[in-house]
Amino acid sequence: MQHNVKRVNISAELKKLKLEKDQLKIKRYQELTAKLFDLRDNNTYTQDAFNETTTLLLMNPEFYTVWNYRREILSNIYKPVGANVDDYAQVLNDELQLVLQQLKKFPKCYWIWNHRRWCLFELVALHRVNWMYEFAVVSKLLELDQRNFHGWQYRRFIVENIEKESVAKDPSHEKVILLKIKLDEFDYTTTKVQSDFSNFSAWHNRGNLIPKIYKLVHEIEVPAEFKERVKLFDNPYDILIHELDMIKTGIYMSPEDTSIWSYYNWLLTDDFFTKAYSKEEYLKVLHNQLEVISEVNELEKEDNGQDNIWCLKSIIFTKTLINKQQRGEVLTDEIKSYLKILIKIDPLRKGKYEDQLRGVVGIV
Amino acid sequence: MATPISSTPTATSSFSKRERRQSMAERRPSTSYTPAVIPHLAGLETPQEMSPLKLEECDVVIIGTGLSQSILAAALAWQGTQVLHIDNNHYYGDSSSCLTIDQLKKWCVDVNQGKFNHFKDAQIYIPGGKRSNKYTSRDYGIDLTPKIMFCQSDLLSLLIQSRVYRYLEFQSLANFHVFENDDFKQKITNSTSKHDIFTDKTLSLITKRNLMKFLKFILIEEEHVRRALVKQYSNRPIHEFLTQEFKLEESQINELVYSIGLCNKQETTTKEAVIRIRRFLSSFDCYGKFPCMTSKFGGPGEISQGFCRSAAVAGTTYKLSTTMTDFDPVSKTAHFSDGSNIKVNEKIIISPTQIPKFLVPSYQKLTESLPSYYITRLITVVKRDCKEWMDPPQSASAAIVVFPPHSLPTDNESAVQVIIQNGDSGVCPEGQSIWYSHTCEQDLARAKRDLECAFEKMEMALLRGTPGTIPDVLDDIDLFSAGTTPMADSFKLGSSLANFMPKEKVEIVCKVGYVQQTYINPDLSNVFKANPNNSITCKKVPTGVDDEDMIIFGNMPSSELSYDGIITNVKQIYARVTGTDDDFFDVDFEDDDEEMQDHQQPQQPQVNQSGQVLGGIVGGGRMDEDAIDEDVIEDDSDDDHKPFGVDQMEL
Repeated sequence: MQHNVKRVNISAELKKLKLEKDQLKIKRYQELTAKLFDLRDNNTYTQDAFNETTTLLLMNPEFYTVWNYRREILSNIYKPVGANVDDYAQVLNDELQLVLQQLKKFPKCYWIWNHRRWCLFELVALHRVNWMYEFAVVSKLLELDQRNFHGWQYRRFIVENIEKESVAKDPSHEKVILLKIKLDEFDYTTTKVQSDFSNFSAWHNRGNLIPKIYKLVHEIEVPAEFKERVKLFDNPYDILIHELDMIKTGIYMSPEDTSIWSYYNWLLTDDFFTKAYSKEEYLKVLHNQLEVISEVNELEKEDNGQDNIWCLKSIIFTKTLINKQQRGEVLTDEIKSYLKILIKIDPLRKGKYEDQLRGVVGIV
Repeated sequence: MATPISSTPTATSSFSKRERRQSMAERRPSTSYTPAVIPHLAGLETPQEMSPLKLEECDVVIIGTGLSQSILAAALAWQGTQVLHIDNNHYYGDSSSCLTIDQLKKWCVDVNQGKFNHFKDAQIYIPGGKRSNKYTSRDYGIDLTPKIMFCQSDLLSLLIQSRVYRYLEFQSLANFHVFENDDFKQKITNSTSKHDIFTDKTLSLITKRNLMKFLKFILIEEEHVRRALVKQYSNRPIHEFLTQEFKLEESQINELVYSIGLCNKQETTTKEAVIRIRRFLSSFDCYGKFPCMTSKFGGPGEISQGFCRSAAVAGTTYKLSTTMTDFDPVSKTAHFSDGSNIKVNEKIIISPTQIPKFLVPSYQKLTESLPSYYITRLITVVKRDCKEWMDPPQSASAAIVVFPPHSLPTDNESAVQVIIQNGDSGVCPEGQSIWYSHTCEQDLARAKRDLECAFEKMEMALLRGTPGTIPDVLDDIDLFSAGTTPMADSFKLGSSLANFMPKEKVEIVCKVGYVQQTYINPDLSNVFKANPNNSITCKKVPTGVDDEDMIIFGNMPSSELSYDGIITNVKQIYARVTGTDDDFFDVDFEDDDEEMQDHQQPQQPQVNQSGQVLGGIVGGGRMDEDAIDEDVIEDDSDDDHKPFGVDQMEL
């Protein structure tokens, strides 16, 4: 939704027209800014000032000074010192509504997300927070744009708090509760990468969850209802094979998709996997992968008459891992020849390949 | 149709001459963005107001209220032209009308009496008549020329630009089924989204790769590369292109060409088919996970009514049940059947179904040299909601079923395309649906056979798929051969039993067939590249006065399932009237910005840099649209190859 949207360049004439049309708005904006800065300098905390921040923030949500000022007002005139908790909670919930409206329009503005967190922490202090509602909100926002990394980060934040809250309610079942939540999150990443595997955030979240779920599964007696779902997490080797198989489809469909390769690199180098099984097993996996990628590269060559940049890079990557395992020379003649091809077909990253060729920069 | 056909409505029927569907002003709107006030349309909400025309003069007379004439009327009216828009029927819509069953009965009689030029062979079958087949005629709105709208199309952007969309309601259409090997493929849009390709277990990795390559080629390849490759194949069949360049297999090709591309013929050229396939794919995900929409309560009939209302707001005078009886090119005076005489300053634009008697000879002479094409239609109202074809069944109200060439036992040369709309789309009562099928087969006997055969296949599929039918039969057999046939075998017999069953029928409310004639080539080439030699709208009509070019004949609707080509055609006429189409609907509604934000739905379709709305262009060899629907395929050109766990990826 937010990706690949080309910037529309408007002509100088149109720009001028727009500027003229916007003169009123600009004047109002400047006046309001000056006024609010004055008010803030005089430590004015009034309902009027609060309303003015609303107007200004609706015009420009990136204005973090005004967000700060808004929070100062909230803390000064609404925050109860023995005063009515309900009123403050209501004000904060209104804030959340406003923030949500703004997030729909500006889903990538840091300050809006930041303000939302602040409101939630205030509600926590009042014991009035509703994490499940927040969870629904972020799920909806990720439906609108499933690659918005703000959304993903916020989701992790919410999930973490849901975990805390759930565990606090029933501390004796801590790990079972955590396992259930994490399995749900893992399944969520599955749906998201299936709908579009070009999603760094989803793969990243998945990579974070795998070791945690694995750990939990091996710490507790898994309840029967989860038995089927945790099967995959028996041992790191099974997980690895499962995940590699999943991205294999992606490699065939879109070898130039970097999110897949980035997950691939993680799978083949992270200690969680590499330390879990024997060198022989590891080498077998590497050789299998090399075969898959080489096959795709051959298909690409057939179609386009030249190597596929991403396949070739991954061939180099995988071969280097093999060489390292076998304690052989890393910069073999074969790898050098591949690097030379890359210099030709991927001139934008020529310098990096040249450095790798000279051994100045490592490959893995 | 061997079954009894009653082509005369019984004299005793309660058919009122003035019966019609509820108009959009009388209906309670079901969405919130429909405006509270829908402008009045003369002669529709208040049919008694039919006094003679009180105009003394006007700039343009438009005869016939079909879709293209209605768009034209609105465009001219908003540009400042004084338009008089008349229709000789007592209802709106002309050849794109949306009629009740009783209206349709009368229409069929009229067609067979030759009252509607370019329509013929009308048949209507209502089993049991009104007595045993209880139906309320006005619950049905049957489009004479049903169509579907792509989300990226010139008509949709015009609806938004002109604000006519606010009189209408749209429903998504995402179900496309293709008939293959004597069966309907379960899920047909498998090859249109990355998600479906990724998760489909039936496709091999190599096929997935090939499909993905094709999608990328259509949607994100640089335009010049795409054009160059298509050019190599240009007029060769699309089949060759897909096999040779993308190594696609028969079943994917069928889906791409006939279901996604909605092509009619096996010989469809690469150039045309690629544009058609692109139209579908770039329409996908504009407003959601669907490529098309249908307008609720009726298709072209509703939309033309919407444009007429818009024209009325801009000052157009409307009159129904009126014909032009004569025109004097010297004094420029037109005489009408209600006795009024009006001076026409500029032009008279005439629908081909409503040519005034005095112009019939010149119309015949002008169309003599034009190749004509037949569209044979079979419309069936069935007592089934057809949810079997709709996914998700709770919210979908329409589906497309396509029978590719040579897929039917009749060995059809042309594809049979079917639009299915059920009660949820407001065109018929709940629990029923309308099947609009048509073919471009030019051998009319064959065309009818193909349509009947396609109908039977759909009927059979419905019966087979209905829970209850087969178990019932199994019960009978079990009873019959109790003790001898083990239950397990009966289940195995399941599918063959379906053919063995006594022939049950899907219950029908009404079945209508007719043939429509048009001078528009099915590939729309003579719309996109119209000239006086190939298009009736470009031909000069002699009036007997030197250099006088006052009369323009319009086109009949094309065989195209979508609305493509209509705006292009209207603009040609518009330019002939005003000299240019630069100001076509160039209306500045004062409250533009705010209004658009308040009415979040529908959003403005994406427009490319040249301001042209993408998609919607078929056949004319105009491959200049360069829109890419970002969401179908996305490509991160991030070259950061550090292993995961690097946090900046998340920040």
